[in-house]
Amino acid sequence: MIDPKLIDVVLPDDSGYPADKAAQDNRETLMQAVYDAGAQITEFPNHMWIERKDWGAKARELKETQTRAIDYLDRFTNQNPTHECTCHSLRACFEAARNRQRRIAIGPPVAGQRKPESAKSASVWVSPLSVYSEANPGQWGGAGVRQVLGIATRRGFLPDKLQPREWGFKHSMHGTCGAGGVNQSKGSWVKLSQFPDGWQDTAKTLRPIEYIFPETWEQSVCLVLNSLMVGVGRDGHAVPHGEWIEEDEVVAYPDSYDVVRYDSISRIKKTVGSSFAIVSTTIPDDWENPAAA
Amino acid sequence: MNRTAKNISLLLLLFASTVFAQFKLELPESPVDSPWVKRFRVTGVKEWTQVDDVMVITAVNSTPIFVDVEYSLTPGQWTFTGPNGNYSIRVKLKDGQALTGAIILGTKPPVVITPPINPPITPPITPPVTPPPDDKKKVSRVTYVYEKDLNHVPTQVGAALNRINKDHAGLIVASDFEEDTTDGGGDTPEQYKVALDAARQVGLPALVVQAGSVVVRIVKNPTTQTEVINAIAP
Repeated sequence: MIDPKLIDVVLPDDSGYPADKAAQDNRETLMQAVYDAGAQITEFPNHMWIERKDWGAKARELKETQTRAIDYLDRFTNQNPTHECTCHSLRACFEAARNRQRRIAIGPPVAGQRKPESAKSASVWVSPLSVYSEANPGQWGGAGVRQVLGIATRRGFLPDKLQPREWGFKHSMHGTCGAGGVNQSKGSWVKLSQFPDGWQDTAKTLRPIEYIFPETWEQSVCLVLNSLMVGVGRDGHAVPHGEWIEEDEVVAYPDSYDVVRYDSISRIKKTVGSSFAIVSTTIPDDWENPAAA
Repeated sequence: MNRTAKNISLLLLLFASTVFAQFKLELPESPVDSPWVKRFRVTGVKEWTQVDDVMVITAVNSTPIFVDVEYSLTPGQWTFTGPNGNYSIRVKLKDGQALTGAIILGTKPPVVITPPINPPITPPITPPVTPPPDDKKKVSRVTYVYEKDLNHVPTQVGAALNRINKDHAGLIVASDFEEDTTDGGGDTPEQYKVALDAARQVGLPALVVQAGSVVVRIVKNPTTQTEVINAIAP
């Protein structure tokens, strides 16, 4: 039984998805943003539809086989007290998609712990700050989902300075101006103009390239049940949905505060219009050498 | 033998020959012009799902090597190319039958190359000398290639790929690949070119098993863990 205090949490302080930014997000603007940035968009495919009555069985199958979306995520990030939530949510969706393609099931993440398997896998950690810096040059006030999707799709993320193993990336950036943690570096604010020379050459290797934008909350849950992490924005905060839990009729998300929280169906219904799933990301020519040009 | 027993024997023989003649490995007559692409086939194969795997092996300086085999659009037909020499072919069917044969490429009979490569060949091949250090015959990659508009990766296939990565960490790269995925430069990632080409030849989705750059097996549209795990078995 899930602690009710972890369900439908409304954060006391602004975490970075304010109402004015949320008002500009709807399915069409999100699709237009990534399309303009060069990504492929797919309408929700029929083959991913799962009847409501089968959600429980599917969720159990995913858990037993370690193929839940959250199983492909090996770390938490911590944005506290910044307004970087849209970018932390996006980085979770990106890293889960990338690891899913490589079929590295080394999740779910454990707060405060470095999983030893991360170093043996092809896991690469990206910096949310490397996108947020462009999305909001003023640092405070947050960003819209549409904005950060467009930026990440167009030019990608920089890798975090902290990696599960030394990949030798030519350019990197600390992950956040917030708390960070054992799996995320932190530092001071960086303007876009202060990014290292030539950073685009590294960032373009870490880009989402194909998306699905659900039209209904049921489609959103179906995506999660197809092992895709779904980024959503609602009630002032953006999070990545990673697992459907039938017994409580909630989705679990690894929040960017080192904790797993949950959204009920009534909350999920609010996310339609700001939700997306990354189907595929750029892949290196050699998983063991992602830093190669 | 009385007449009845004789008739029964003949009927049994006819039955056996009918059953076991259902599939037949047909090869071009040796020797054949070399090194150009030559077609061989198994009669009776109507769908690729009837075929488990195919191997063509030759030897260079006494070292057995796997030869790249191209799958035809027509089920049960393959082509390959290579220099003058002896080639041994084995086609394993899903029903357990293993059909073997040999072709000589070249207008003159080449020097016989040891070890003998004529049937039956049970992998792994053990040459009479120390195996080469890059041992290409070992499975090194297995890739589920698909097109997202047509299908998603079945959960059990994803689970099997997870399992292979865990059980064979550092030895086999097991992953899935959506047809249109690119690297940072917008091109097909180098590591997936062979699998993508092979899968497109038989139709997506397909599971492509490689030993280095050589495709050793393709499984069309796998949906179970067993199909994936069996695909990498020797």
